[in-house]
Amino acid sequence: MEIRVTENEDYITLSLKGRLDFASSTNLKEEILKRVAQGRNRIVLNLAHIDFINSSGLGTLVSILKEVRLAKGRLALSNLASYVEEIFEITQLSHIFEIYPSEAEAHEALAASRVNVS
Amino acid sequence: MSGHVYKLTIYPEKDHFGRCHAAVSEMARRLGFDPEEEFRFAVCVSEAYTNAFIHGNKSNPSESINVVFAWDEEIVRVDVEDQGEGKPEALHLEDSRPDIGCEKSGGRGVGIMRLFADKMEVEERQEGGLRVSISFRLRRKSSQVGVLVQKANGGVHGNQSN
Repeated sequence: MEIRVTENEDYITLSLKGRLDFASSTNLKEEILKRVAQGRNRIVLNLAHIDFINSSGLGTLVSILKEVRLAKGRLALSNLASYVEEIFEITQLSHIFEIYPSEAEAHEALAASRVNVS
Repeated sequence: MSGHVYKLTIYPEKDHFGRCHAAVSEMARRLGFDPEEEFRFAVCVSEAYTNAFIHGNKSNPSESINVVFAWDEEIVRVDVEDQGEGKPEALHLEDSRPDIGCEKSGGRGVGIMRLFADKMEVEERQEGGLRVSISFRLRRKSSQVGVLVQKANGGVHGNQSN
């Protein structure tokens, strides 16, 4: 899985490409926790180019979400393909993750919360 | 089941998950699955394969996993076989709803298979290990699958019989 990172003052965005499964999940978690440790705790994961996700990938996302929450941050997912969104729904994970149709909407939500806090 | 059979033996060497996924995707395309059907099919086989590697073979790199596709005009069945101790309880089949404890970090695989597949069975193999069988109804007549014998780096071997 490829990970492309962009950053600004309000949030960081990781655009993922490929499969999110047992083999690739560890790398993603390391990339995110590295940034959380640096104080970057507003994170958007763009899944537009994720063509496959299984329970290992879901489990890693849950694990990442817990770490981000512990750091008092927010994690948003965006651009889920319809069949990826389906797997979030059947596992009820659509209720615990912030999921947005587009990266722009996810950015807007995270940026707005930062303004409200300050 | 009469029809076609294609068997892969995968050793957990470099990118073995990717090699399994590639074979599954190729099979899905040849069977005429649309993208959503292919995704559900690939997820199910991936769950079974991951369980076989982690729980069945205890991540032992010297133990192989068989992925056997059998299909006719109506159904495709995938058997995923490990070389482990053959204990079905390792899969926690009783805890199989994928939404149970949805904030847990694991344990959704069996539930997802049961929801996505038309049928799922687990049995102990006579030769040791477990066999997880997942079946899908085919909406369209399956076309003849060409020979998919391929030899990839890291030991993916397959052969087809009719």
